[in-house]
Amino acid sequence: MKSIYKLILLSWVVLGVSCYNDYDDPQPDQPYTDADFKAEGLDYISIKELKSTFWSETGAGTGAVASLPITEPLYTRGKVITTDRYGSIYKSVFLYDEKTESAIELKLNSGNYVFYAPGRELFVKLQGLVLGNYRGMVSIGAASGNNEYSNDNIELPVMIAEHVFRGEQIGMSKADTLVVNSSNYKSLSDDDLGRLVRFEGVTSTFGKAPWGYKNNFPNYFANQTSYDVTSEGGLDGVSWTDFIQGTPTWAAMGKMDGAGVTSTYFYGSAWFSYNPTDAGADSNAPAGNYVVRTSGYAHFRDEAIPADGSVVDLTAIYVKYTNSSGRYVTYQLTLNDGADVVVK
Amino acid sequence: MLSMLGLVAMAQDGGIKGRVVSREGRAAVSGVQITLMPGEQVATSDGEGHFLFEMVPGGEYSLLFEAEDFEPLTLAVRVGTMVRDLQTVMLVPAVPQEILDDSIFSEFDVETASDANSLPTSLSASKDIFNSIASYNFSEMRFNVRGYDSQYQDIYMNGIRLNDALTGYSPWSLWSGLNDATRNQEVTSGLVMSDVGLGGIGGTTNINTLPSQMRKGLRTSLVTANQSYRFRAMVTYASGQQDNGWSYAFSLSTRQGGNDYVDGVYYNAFGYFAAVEKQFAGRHRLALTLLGAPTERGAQQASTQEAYDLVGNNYYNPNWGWQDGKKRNARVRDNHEPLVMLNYRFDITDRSQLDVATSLRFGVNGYSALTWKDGPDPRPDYYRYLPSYFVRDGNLAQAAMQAERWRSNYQNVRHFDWEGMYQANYIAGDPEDEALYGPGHRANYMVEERHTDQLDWNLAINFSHLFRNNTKLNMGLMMRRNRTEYYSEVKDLLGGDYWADVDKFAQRDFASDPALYQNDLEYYNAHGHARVAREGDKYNYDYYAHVLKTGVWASYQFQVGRLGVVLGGELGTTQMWREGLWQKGLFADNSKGNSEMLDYLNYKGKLNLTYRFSAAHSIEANALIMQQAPDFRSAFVSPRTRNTVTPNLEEEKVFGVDASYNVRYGDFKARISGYYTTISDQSKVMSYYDDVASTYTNFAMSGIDKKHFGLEAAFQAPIYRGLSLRGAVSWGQYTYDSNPFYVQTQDNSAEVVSTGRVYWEDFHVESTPQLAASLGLNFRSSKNLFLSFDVNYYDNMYLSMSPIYRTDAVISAGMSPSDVAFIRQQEKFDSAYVLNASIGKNWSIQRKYTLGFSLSVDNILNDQDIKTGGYEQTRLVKNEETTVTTYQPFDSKYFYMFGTTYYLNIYFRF
Repeated sequence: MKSIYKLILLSWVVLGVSCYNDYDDPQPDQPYTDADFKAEGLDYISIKELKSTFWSETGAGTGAVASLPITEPLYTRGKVITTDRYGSIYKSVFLYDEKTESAIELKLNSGNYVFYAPGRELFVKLQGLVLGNYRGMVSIGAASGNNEYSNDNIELPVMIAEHVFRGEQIGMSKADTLVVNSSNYKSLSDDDLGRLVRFEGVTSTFGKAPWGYKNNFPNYFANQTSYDVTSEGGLDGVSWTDFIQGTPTWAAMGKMDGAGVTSTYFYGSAWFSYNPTDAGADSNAPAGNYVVRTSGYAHFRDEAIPADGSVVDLTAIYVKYTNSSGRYVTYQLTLNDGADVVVK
Repeated sequence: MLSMLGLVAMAQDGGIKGRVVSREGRAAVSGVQITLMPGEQVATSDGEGHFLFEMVPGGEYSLLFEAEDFEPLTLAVRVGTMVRDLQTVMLVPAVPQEILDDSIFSEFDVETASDANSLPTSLSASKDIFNSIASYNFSEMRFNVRGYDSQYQDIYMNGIRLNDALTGYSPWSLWSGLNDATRNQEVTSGLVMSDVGLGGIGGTTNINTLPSQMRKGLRTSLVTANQSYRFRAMVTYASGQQDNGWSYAFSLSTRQGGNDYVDGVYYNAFGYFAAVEKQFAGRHRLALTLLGAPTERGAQQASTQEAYDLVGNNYYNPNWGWQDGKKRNARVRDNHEPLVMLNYRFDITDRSQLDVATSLRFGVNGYSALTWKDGPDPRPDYYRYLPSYFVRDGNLAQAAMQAERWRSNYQNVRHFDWEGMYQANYIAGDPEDEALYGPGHRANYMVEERHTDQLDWNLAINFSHLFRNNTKLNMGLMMRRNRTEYYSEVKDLLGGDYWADVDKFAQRDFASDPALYQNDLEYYNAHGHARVAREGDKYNYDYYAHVLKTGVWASYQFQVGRLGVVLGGELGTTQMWREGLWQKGLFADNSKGNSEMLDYLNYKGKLNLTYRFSAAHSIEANALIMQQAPDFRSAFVSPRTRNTVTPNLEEEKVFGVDASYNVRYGDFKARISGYYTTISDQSKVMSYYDDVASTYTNFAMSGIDKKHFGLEAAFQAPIYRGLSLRGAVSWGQYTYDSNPFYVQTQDNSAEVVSTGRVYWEDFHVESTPQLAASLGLNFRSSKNLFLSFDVNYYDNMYLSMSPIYRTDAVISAGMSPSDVAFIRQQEKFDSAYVLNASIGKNWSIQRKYTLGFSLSVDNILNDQDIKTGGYEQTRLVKNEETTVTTYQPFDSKYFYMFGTTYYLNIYFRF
């Protein structure tokens, strides 16, 4: 009988120590370098070359739907200059190549700041991805099943893992930000699209801009409708007029009149200008006038836009927005965070 | 007065006398053969259970009590010069040979409404032929007797009702793996009352763990199986009642390993049991019992048919991923809830008995889950990662590629990417986080463990008296106080250093006001940042559920000619309240401290009638009316966040009647029963992300009514020399009998999103086959060989419904009547049949030891396409391609019966 006890006790001891939840933590990944990709036989292409190839292959710089699938064994590289931590940038990182002073949007899934913080060098294996145009901006993405879109976000984790690789966390440096001011802002060109640009001494401007469409600032947009100071109705019981004439914010969230308890998230558009009177009545907004466009999901949504006439330093991603024929151009700015606007 | 077959003997010798009663009902047991050893003198108990040995020389003796339908009992007795009065000798009714093993607890872990139905209701072995077949054969299909959830079956241990105080669920998991120690069970079925309480509609089971009444001896067993675990070992010893009045018993067990069908699941479970009992002053017994089942168990999650088809089997488990070369499961149940119990029995007279029992349940009960702060959903079978998502999106090329990735498991696409999560946590180093929380990596992923830690105290005082006219009174008083702490804790930071405890849904909506998205506002106010939770720290929510329940009950049993009548009544109260331990940022005024006290009246009235035409024929008829407090879990709209009580919360009302005809000719036994039950005013609360309102919401239903009616029949017929045929049929119709009222509130603001009705009247109650039938052959040889072969058939099984799909809120103007019908229809599963067989044999060694084995093989045809359950998801696919938005339900998730399984038990006992 004792032997049975012993057997059972022994089996307990053996089994008791064989833990089911005893796992070694994995070793931290080594950052990728060019050598890793060269070793695979991939050729490097700079962001600038990538963009110029796209434009040359697909046509002029309009806002029309255009796609360029990449079939060659290529890779590119750039430093992350955006963060989606604050809900303003969404499902994207912008990569900047210091050498060619060129930047491009990489369309991914959400929470990119977790994996690709600002200052991180990223490598992108391009074969199988698609360059696409959205209103004058080129991006790297996945093939879309909808022919109204030039490309889609790379949302599948398995696909992200296949194409996007972390390099060194280099950190942000001064050189990553292009700085312009009231005297040299005209030097900005479409080559700078996607770059982080600091606009020094730019003026927050409320009111009617000279270009033709959605030109009352600030204004708010949701469900294919734009609301400005002249709009009927309101939000959370406050009329649009009162809201905009009070302390308008970067974006808005609230219940529209008659919309029950469901909240609507509104994009906000704020106008910043070096010289509003220069703007003229042309349908293309001339240089020196920028629309800061902010998502209703941005964490700084409820922070006030600097009051009309405030002079600020503003750091944001420089974005173009045009129609399919390349007309009605506005230059938009996307803030990483509300803290990137400093009132002087 | 005594009619004895005793002994003729000498005047100077002593003797032994006593009265044999059944533990069930304390009814006298006549015809018990009592053997006095040594000497092999035999007596037989008379019509009132009395027996007497006279002229017994002084010395140590063993008394062996043997009777049909009762477990044999051996008592040690010391005889002097007087006649020793043993008072009452209690025999334990025998339960069928096939004691159920908890291997039939096929665990189905879903955190949805259907979770309630995850356990088969009838685990108790029973003498009743129908219940025996139903519990043993039908459990493979998650069969619920009469369609009732497990909370309608009252489970007692040593006279204390131990159904969960908060959910009402049966408490089997407290002693899982302790089969030998909990083998003594007294069972009533349906509406029949028991001696320890009135019961409800689903019968009662009283597990008796008092060591004096456990079969004396040592039992050991080894099991190897492939259904739930690989290996089980168990050893149990019971001393029997010793001459000095002491008796004791202990049991230890372990279950280890996974199964043959589902990856990533395992058991790492132990069980311990110890009980000691002392009889003193002849009429008093005091017993102390301690048991516990520390269990760690990897869980299976259901997935969609699409995922199953891509993987190529119906047992795909999305809960795990590779780490360190091993399969790591994110969902692990880890619990250890010891139960300690004190029982006092006073045999006041031969006819009166007082029982006082008290118990305390304590310990921890955790269930882990992967949590993440930001980034893509890491669950492999998230709907956006399945090919169907791309098909809906018109991206057929991507759909085909993704299907191929799934089929080939490219880069382990079917599983969690633990490695990737660690790497993301390693590189976390946002300067803003460092400024707020100090140095270290703020984890984006972690494994949390959600706890339901109970402190459950019970007191039951029962009194019974058998009057001279053979009428019997049972009465009792009970009190229960439960305080359960609900909280989540950080179990594994996956390479991170801390978790910043903010409410990410609230942060999305109220990012500019950090106070609003704090889970622990007081901490934030004191520290200026969100709670920093490290491994082992609480996070997210922390509150107590308080329940105080009191009641008195009585039953009176009498005979009018051939008619036996039992009348029972119960009255009691339930008070419950929530006590928030943390102040939630969003609900600063309504989250910490006590909620309002909810006060409910419980009552019950029961009638059991039995009419015996003859020894062979009898009929029974029973009726019940009762009202009981709602469960705590449905009493609060969002107990994790606030004290708000569910609107329109009411007591649940149950009405039930049943009638049976029993026939018995020798070994031929049959029963046929009919039943009709209504359950009214149930409540239910769910929380989920609403795709219509695009926000996290709480959905509270009230006025849920159900109707259950049907027939049960079973028979057992001897054929030839130990070969018998047996069969059972359960046909029922279990339907929802109302369109319940609902209120949907936004979790972030408590604002009402929508109200209305859930249109599911006449739809079916889910998760149990409403038609189940079994036919089997049994063979028992005189040489202890046992064989059985059964065919079971199931039909009328329905998917658990998501109430959301049956509201007007999901109907948009663009939906055609057929769209609406599509979204509201309830899926019916295919019928199925299953073949099972078993064989067993035991050998007696030196007439002292027994060595035996039993082997059962289930689902011999290896049918792997039998759905046993499943549920609809709460989410909806928004279709915005057209000019108006329409909604489509997400694909449902299913569980399947395993293919062929075996269970081999080798035992040794003496």
